[in-house]
Amino acid sequence: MSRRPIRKLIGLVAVLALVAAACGDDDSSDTQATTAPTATTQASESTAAPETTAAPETTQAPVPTEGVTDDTITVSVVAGFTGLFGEVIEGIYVSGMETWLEDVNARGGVNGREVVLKKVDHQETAEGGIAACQEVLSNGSYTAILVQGTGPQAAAADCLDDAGFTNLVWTADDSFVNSWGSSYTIFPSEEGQGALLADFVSANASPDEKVGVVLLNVPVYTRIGNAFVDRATANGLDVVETVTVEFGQASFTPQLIRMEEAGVTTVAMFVTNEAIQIATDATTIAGFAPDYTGALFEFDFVTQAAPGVLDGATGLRISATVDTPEFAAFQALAAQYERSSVLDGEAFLYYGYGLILEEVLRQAGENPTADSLISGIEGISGFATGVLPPITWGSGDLVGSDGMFPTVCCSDINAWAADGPASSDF
Amino acid sequence: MEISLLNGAFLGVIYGLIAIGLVVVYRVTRIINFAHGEIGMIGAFVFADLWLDHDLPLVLAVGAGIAVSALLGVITEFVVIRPLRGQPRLTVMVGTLGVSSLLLVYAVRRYSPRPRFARPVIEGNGFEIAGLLVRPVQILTLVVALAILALLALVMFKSSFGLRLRATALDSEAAAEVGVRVGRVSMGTWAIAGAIAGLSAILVSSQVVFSAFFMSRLMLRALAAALLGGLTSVTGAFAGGIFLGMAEGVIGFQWIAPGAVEASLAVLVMAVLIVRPKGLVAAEY
Repeated sequence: MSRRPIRKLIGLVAVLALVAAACGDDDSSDTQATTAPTATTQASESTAAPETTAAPETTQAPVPTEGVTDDTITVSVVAGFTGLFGEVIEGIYVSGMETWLEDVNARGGVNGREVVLKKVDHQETAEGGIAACQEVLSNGSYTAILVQGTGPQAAAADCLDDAGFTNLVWTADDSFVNSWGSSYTIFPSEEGQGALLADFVSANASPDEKVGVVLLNVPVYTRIGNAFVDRATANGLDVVETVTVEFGQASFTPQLIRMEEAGVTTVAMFVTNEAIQIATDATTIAGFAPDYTGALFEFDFVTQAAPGVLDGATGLRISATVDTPEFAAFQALAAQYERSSVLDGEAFLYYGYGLILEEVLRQAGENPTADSLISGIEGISGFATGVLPPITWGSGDLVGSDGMFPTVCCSDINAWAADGPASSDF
Repeated sequence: MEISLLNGAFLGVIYGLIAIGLVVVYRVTRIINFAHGEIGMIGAFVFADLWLDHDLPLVLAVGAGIAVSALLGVITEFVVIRPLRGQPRLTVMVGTLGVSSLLLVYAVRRYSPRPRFARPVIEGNGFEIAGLLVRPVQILTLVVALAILALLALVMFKSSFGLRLRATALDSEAAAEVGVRVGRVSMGTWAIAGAIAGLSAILVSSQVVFSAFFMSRLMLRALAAALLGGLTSVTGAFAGGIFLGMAEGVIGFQWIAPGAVEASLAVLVMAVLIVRPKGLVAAEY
């Protein structure tokens, strides 16, 4: 092949790649798919999964319940155990949920039954979410808890909902949450989180506050961010600039200059790692020193990767921070059960999922059935762990909490710090 | 607007610096090394590990990072490029894509996909130009890029290795006929490109979010910069990077619609290649 055709070919590939990038990160994981590859299911290391349901000894034998024996109760835990972040998720799961698992079983289990967890992998893809759903429906689980992901877990929860399989899912967007009948969310919907943040910012805003919004061009970020903008505007906040940025953008200075020229005093960021770059770039613009708030960057791994950069930033979190007594108690438990490999805010969140699951199973009663699971969930009111916001479900109310924890950056270990109790009213 | 242009120029220095390494390999082998970013990224992680976590002196840590990247370049040449010699160039380029994926997976597993702290190799308050605070590490990156250009010119035109390299670039078979050990030249080229990748990544790591993906994300822009420079000119690639960065600065400031910057840059690169197929700067070096 001569040089010119090769050069043209490379040029064409590069241009096509740039055009493809221009279409934005369409977050393939955020779409629903119909094909379903095989999902993997593993019994948790600490217990063995039962294969059959034991026959009851009473003469009036109740109908056996899937996932329940005289001695055990089995629950699927759905997450991206093998996706790009698989190793991270695995570590969090082991430190968080397995600490709870060891503890609850050491305390005699739930209603006398040992809890067995089965890990089900959604592989961080929508197809994997559907496969995970099918796995949950066939692996002998009493219920399932979907603890991580956006598109994949929504696809899985939607599929379980279609099958009428009662499950707990951490959150999803309004289009799912408002249509479900068997999938109970633990936290506010994505849009609900954006609106709650707007209330939080409005409550703390000065009269001449001017807000600039940075949205990462990925569906979950834009959903939360747009909900924030809508509510903030309705609240009377002056949102003067909204910019969309791309995943992996090397500099945000041009967009920040726009904000500086628009007189922005608070930058609301709907990004994750990009928050570091945005706050760093802002320091290079003379006279520009905004306050920071937003969503999806209130993780300790973000602030710890850039000590001091986000100091003073405020926001809301779905779980308590690591400077709380509840976290100290969790740390002690994790050490006791030798599950201390990852002791961060996310492992703490997963521990909180375990506490919620424990309460759901307890409320399902001593003879758990599909119906008692629903009545048990809907009977939970104001369940407060200090790890997650108080949870209340009710008949027709499938959203467990409307509240979140206010937080501020940062503690002396560069982690987010508590800024008050969880609330839904700012 | 001035701030956007100035900031864009410094951003372009990063693109240009990475593009130089791409061109070094392309000049000799006529293939695009898609693993260039990841080869540099591993070097940057080794540097950060040694400097920040093991308190090794800065110079030694930088040297170790560069050495690891150079070694990865050599290994890539030996394991992927050499066995595929004689195969269609597209096949070889796919081979480098494989190396890129392998290194990325390794980095994600070894260092986590999450961002980590990266301290600039040179710190200080910087100075203000037209309302933009220029950080010392940005100046250092510019100086290093210019030094690399000068050094490459010296090697290319004033050393026997440079002569062999130019001969191989012109016609590798003819060069082999007259006694040039083409394999060694190729390996040396990959070592130089790897070292440039490592040094680039070390300098850039503190200017962007430092994670396993940071160089991969910059590679697309660097490739566009190399194309703007005509693919065979290191000075052209560097100039192309600065042009691209400044364009990005202006477009990012003017248009805020989703994807506007990427789409505009794609059109811009396309337009330049149509008008000047040999690149913005028709330079031999």
